[in-house]
Amino acid sequence: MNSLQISELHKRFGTHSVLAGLDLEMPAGSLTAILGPSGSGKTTLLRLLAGFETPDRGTIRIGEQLIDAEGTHVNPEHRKIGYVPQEGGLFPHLTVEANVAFGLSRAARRQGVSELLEMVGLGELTRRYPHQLSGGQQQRVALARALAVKPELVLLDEPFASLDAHQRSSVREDVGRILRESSATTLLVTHDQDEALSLADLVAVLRNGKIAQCATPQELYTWPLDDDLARFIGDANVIVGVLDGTLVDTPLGKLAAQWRGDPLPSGSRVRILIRPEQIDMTAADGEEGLAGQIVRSGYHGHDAVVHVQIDEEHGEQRLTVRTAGEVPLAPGSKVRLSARGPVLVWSAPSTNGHPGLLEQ
Amino acid sequence: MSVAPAVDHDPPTAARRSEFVAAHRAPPPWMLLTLSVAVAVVLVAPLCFLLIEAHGAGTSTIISLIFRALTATLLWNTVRLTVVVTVLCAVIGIAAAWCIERTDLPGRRLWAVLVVVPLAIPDFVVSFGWASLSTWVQGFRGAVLVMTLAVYPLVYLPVAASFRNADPGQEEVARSLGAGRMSTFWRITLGQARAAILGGCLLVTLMLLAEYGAFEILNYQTFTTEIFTEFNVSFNIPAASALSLVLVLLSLLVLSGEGLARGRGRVSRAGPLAQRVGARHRLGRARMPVLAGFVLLVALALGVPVGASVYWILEAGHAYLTGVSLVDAAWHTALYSAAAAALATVMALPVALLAIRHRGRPYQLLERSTYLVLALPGLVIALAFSYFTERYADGFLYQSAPLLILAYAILFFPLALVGVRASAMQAPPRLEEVARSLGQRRLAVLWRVTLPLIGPGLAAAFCLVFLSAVTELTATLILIPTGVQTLATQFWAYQQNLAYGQAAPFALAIIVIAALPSYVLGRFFDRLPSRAPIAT
Repeated sequence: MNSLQISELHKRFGTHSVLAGLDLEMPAGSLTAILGPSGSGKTTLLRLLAGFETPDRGTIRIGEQLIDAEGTHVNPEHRKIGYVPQEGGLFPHLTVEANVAFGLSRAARRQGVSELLEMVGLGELTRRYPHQLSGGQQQRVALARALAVKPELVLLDEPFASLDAHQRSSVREDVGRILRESSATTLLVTHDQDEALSLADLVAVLRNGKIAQCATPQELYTWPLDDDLARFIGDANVIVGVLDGTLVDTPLGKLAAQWRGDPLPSGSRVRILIRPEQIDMTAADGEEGLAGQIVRSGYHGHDAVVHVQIDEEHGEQRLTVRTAGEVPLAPGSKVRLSARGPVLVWSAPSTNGHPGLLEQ
Repeated sequence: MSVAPAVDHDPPTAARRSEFVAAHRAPPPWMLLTLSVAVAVVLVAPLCFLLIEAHGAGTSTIISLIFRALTATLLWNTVRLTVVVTVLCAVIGIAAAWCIERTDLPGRRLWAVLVVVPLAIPDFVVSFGWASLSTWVQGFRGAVLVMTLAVYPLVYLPVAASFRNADPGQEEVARSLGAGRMSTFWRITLGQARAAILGGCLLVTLMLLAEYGAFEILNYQTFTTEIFTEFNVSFNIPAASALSLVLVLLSLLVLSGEGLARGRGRVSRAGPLAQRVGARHRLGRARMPVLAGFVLLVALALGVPVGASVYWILEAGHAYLTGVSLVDAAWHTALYSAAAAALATVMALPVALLAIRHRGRPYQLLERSTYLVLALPGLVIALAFSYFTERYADGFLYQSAPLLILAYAILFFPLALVGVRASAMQAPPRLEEVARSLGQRRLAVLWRVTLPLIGPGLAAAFCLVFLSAVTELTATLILIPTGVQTLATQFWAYQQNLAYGQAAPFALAIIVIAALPSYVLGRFFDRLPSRAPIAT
């Protein structure tokens, strides 16, 4: 395994620019998830890495070896990159065993194959054909096949998208374990944020043909670079407020503030990220907190998500609140909200509205 | 007589299609493009030769030859026969398909085989069987009877496949919405099979326009019989090419009409192709009459031609044993047909790959253009080739084996394309990419992944062309190398001399040789829909 460095990667199809100067670095042995909505160019990135397409500009480097650059294009078969396409892409005319052995020399086949199949937990299915396997089993065979050739880098294209919800979590865990055991450097592409956050060491969000942010799942959730990213990863309430030292004054109370980069002066207008689980909701008896009314709520078993319409004096705005357990109150109930810090703030553009107004 | 189960290949749904054109934006490799263009050029060559031939005769001559009373007679004969037979074939084909696929008819599996077997019997053998037994089978009524019995399977096959794959849920929904049995049949069942019905009728029509041998035996004058006479008996090239032009125009008209009719609406089923089988309709009291109908159909279409051949052999006794020439003719038939089948399959490969894997109007058009060949009867192709080699190539290749094989390959190219196309769908490019990322070079990928996946389909394409070439008569009569006989030409020679006892063994030999690939084909196309293109 080895590290991967991509810099200034450009790719356009006709007039449609898919990747526009993408940079990404992955340390050796890490599992990185590329997260992006459908059509954001995730699959194109994988196909460029695998060598099925040629970039218009930019370089790709695995360890010290340059595999794509001006005038250089290493063919797919010489890249040592294990590729697992959507739905596995097993060869339908070959048995499980022959699929896994496909990339191996005759000498390497004997022990390598059975060892790998043991590792993915399919030792007893060697003689089966792909159509006799479940989706999850196919996925694991495809992974074993990719790992068989001892690749520098493993690429997984939406590996769990075709599985039903029931299978997905167990296959996901298995695949994560297998990849870590083999300590392969892995790049996984997905549009499922839950998958990215729970499985990967690093999550890179692809937006407008570039990596908008690449960070650990925790950092990405707590320190998103801007409010679009905040909304993309999990639910987010973004409101505005005024900074007062290290605190920020909001309709939901005075909260501890944290921010990136240079110190922000007191009195600065800022935008504030408040995650739904940072908001506490009480029945409307008290005087404390921001008054509002429940619009609707969704019960999810482990928690409940409640949408609260804020009273008019603060502008028409809804806040999303996450509460553990049941929602005690019916739609229409009056509630009061308060928030717990610390909260992330970004310096806000100076125009637009007076302080205290909640921002869309 | 030739076979084409379903020229109608429903375009895959958008979702499925995308996996075949993963590399769609990339331009096709130049090798693939060059080969495809070369194939297309070879395919339209006969049409160009025909135009050159007509041009050589002089425009005014051609026009005066076209606008005469004879043309009107031929047109009337051809059109009325085509309309009547196509309608009859549609009725028989749809009824048989519905009974076998959708009702509790006893012995369905057996009937499903028996009603298709007539495809392996050349039209001229059916014609011979009937005409040799009864003088009533002559002229128009004879032609209607014989041609209907010979070609109705061309409607039956695609319609049965369509009934098999159609979503029974739609019928159930229609019933639940208050539509009665009959109304459901007309509005839903037939609607679902529309593309298949149209496709089948198109093949029947084209087959009728191209048929020669059967009409010659029945003394029914159509364009083909007249063209053949002008060319082979009167050596009147201008007249032959003028009539050929009309015939080709007629075929083109049919082809484009079918394209228009199909353009409206699309048959689809939502969701994955679950092979759910709807409840079969109970025949109830109609059971015995329907069974009697099937017995009658098989007796007329299969029993009479085979029975007549056996009868004439027994009648002749041992007096006319033709062992040596039979083996010799069978050998040449198999040789030419196999060579043509291989050539047509190889020619179809680049065209199919280009059309399936590379989205873009030019590539689709290129594929479409090869279907023009459907409008060229074997007779026209043979005339064009023979005229051209004689006139412009100094007789080079004239009446030689390579030219005959090439003519077969062109004539049956659309059949090969159907098979190759279906099989190329079995090999999505994604699998090749995976193979390459596993360290295999292009050639190794072709050998280890692509060929094994498309192999069965290539074999089917081969069988389809082989079968059609074995039963081909018209082009063979014109292009056969001097001093050589195939089963069809030898049969024809004996038959024309009314030596039925000597002709019959050749007819039976053709049926036997054609039956084997038909069986293989039936198996292949039966399995096709249930086999997913990629493992899911």
